[in-house]
Amino acid sequence: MQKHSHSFEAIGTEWVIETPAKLSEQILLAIHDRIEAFDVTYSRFRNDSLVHEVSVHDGVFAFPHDAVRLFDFYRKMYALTNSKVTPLIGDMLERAGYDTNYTLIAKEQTPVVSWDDAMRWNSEVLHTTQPVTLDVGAAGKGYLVDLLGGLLEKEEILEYVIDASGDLRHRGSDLNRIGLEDPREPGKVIGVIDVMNKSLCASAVNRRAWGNGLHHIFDPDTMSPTKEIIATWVIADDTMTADGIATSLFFVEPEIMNDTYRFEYVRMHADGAIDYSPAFEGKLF
Amino acid sequence: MEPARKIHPGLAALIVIVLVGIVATAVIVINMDKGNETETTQTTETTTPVSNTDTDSDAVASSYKDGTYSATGSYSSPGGRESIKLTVTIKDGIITSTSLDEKASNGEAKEYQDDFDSGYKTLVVGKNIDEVSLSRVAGSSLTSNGFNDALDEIKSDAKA
Repeated sequence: MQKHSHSFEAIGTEWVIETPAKLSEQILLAIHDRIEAFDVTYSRFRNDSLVHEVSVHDGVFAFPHDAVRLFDFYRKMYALTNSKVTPLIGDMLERAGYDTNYTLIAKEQTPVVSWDDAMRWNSEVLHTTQPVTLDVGAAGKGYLVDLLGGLLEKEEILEYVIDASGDLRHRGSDLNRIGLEDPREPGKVIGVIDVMNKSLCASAVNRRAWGNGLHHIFDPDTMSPTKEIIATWVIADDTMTADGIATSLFFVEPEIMNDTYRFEYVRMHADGAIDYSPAFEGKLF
Repeated sequence: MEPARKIHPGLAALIVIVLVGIVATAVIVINMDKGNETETTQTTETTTPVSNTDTDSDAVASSYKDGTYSATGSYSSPGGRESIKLTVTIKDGIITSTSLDEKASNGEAKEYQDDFDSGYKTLVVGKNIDEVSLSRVAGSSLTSNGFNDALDEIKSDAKA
């Protein structure tokens, strides 16, 4: 297909939206409004967000309706990963220096509070018993990609790629050959996979990393960054699921997630070894 | 019918090396548990190509013929003689998949082999992005300028 690319920076990363025809000004505006609405709700990196308010005082907070699906998914991941994937990891990441000001200086850690002690969701209404810093990094970007996909589809744009740098959703009949970037050596790929009418999410510890071995995927139990897995790639029907599972596979064996979700995966271990799902259809070099 | 193919000597050597590694691992596991009470031996018994999908891609600098090869190695364990079959698939000179087929009859040895199989992983070497035709690349998310600036600052502070 003939391709038009629209590139921009949003929510702290690079985006590309590729479509057969140029997107109209009106649709571009709607896309940017949707991203802004998401960011002003869920970003812990800005002081005017709802999540920031939740981090300042306890109480009752009315979230937009899109919170229901996101936090339902988080709750399931929380259960499946034995509370290792949790939106309450935000406080730990901030103490590690990954905060609003990108201090990048680690302070002393304290344990992450448990979900049931800290908060209760009643549909889109959040009740908290104490100030908590929510971080939706495990699935939020994938979810936003899906929301934008829904927006395009509502406008009858049924062939597109939304690539939010590591989280990608493809719809249409053209093949998209995606390289799996080597986290040890960006500029190299360890394999390729064709993605069609699916989402692919990659997660790796090489870029959001700072200080003494610190990176953005923290294990709440050890109170330090994960060590065994250095990258994951997950293909699923939707981007939120692919994103969340890509994070979960840093903590649990794929079989744990496999009973509940349908996906294919590739993982790279710290020693460079690869494991992947039996039905993974890509090529590894 | 396809003529029987002779296995490339280099590949045979490779399989032997891999097998010796596997057998050595199995032997170590058994020895650790049994407190070295047993004498162990290792041999490579057969090396046979089981199928071949040669596409004559000789333009590719490749020292191994495409195909699927398997080899069986055996060792003595306290529970008797046990064997492991290794299958390796080669495409364009690169191992694209490997699998282990355990044949342990003895319960204890079977357990060791199962443990080993589930921990078995593939190694990759990677290719340069410009060697592969790609629509795009998926890796860790690019970071914002804010994060990068902060990181540069931390790095220069650390050097100061």
